[in-house]
Amino acid sequence: MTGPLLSVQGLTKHFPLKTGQVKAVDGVSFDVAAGETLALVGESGCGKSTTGRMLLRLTDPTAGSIAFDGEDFLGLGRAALRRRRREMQIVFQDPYASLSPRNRVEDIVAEPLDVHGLCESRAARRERVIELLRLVGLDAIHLRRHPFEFSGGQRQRIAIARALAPQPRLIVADEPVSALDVSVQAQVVNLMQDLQEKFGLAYVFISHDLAVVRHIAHRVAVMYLGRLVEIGTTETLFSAPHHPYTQALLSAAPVPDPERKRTRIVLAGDVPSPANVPSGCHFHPRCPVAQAICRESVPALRDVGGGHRAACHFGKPFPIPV
Amino acid sequence: MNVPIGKLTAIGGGLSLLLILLAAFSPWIAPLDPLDQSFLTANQGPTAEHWFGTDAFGRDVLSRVLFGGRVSLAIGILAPLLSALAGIWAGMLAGYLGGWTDRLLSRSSDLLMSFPTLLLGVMIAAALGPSFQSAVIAIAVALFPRFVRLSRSATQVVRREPFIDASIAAGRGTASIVLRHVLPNIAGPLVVALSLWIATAIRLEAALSFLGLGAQPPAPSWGNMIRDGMSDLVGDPWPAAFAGAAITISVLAFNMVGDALRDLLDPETGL
Repeated sequence: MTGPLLSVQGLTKHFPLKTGQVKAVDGVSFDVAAGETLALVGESGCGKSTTGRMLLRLTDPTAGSIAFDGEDFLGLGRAALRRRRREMQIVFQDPYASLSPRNRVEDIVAEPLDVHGLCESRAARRERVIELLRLVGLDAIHLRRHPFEFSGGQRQRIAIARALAPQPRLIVADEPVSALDVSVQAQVVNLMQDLQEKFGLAYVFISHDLAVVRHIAHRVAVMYLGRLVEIGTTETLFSAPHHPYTQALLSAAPVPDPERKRTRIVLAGDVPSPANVPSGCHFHPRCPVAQAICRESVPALRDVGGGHRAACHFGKPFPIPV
Repeated sequence: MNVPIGKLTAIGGGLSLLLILLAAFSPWIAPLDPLDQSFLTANQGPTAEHWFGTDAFGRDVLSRVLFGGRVSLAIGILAPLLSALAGIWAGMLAGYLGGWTDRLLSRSSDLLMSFPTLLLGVMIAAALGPSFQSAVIAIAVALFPRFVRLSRSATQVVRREPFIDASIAAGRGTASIVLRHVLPNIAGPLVVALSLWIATAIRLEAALSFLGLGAQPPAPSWGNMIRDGMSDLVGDPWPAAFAGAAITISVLAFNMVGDALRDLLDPETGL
């Protein structure tokens, strides 16, 4: 296979309101290669979770296209969609809510196996579940327990075991560690990386935690008010951010090094409501370097070198006035 | 905290079970034929021969209360069960699918809810003609919208849980999700409601029979025993009093079961 595993073009989701609409996601395009981690970062409400849900058709896009393994994913009929769903799974933010409180761990993890008829006997099913539990650092003694008997980190491991069950090629992880303690976050992130190496998984890793993203992602896509503002490899994006919003975002992340001098870019105002987005570049009202053109025309995502793309009319790492 | 719940469960559950058993085995337990009339012994208070006394036709009140329990409890339990069976599914469909399915089901149950329960029961029983079956149907229909509403709102809460999305992402179909994930997670409050509405249904049955719309004389039911007893409440209060006591005790027992279940079925403290 040569093309990307997942290819998203112009993905859009507008939620209708009584008057007007909320443009939650507005023409987002990106690719994810097999075995790669693409992080989607941005503030609350920037549309990153909605994007993640659309990738799995948990939310129907208003417009745009998604190709999985070269096949149009949005046009699939019911049966074909079910088959495809084996190959893409999801892990949610809240491990307390993403596991049915009434079920036992064995049945939770086996759900994708049952749905797709992947186990021939109860014994085979149990064996496979134990195998999955061991993969995520749990054990056979946990089989008959209910979710409430576990800690948050253990529950997230159960959710990951369930996602792994049908041997997917892509896992959408929607803030998978944000609800966990910092010490547990590292364990879960490392587990996800181990599993990626072992099975060649691709991740779409949705997060607002730049430290975690920097650690796990191969490439990073930054979203602001429903649009992609910058996308590039983790290294280039963190070292040479081209979009002023990315620069402000990166400067706001705490750096655990008291020696290092930090220049924090403080943006004026709040994020505008997605029900009433600014004209032109969505970021222009808060942008420290905005010009007249930014109010009038929407900047395209332009290549700024080596596949690193930024949606800014000026498209270069500026010195932002502090 | 466990002690009072345990006691309440034991007393309520034991009492309910006892009432059901007494009613079910009334042909073997009852001392006399509940339909046997004897004008020589009419309107007697409690005696050694007739523990609960006799009514205006000289029929043994104890036997009539026991046999009447068969009718009253059968209707009182059967009607809410039927209602739950239909109402829970309708509510889950409305709550899960939303859209026009929800609008249709919700508005029609609102329509039914706009009548007072008893009035609706009376209208239906009157329209169908008084009989055991029509009492069951009348009460089932009267309680139906309550089950729809309860299961709909519980479903709407569960539907938004991420584990439902996880199940969709796993490839499970809608019908299967409703059966495997929604139903088990809303069952707790519904079981509680069921036992509470059994108590309501016993009262409704009594009211319908009292109005002459339930089981027909000479077959006894608690409601029509009160109705018969009303004509001579001063001279012979015993039939009405014992039938009334039977209703009170049953309603109390099923309410206790409901309250106890409410606490027991909490997913994290109970089960």
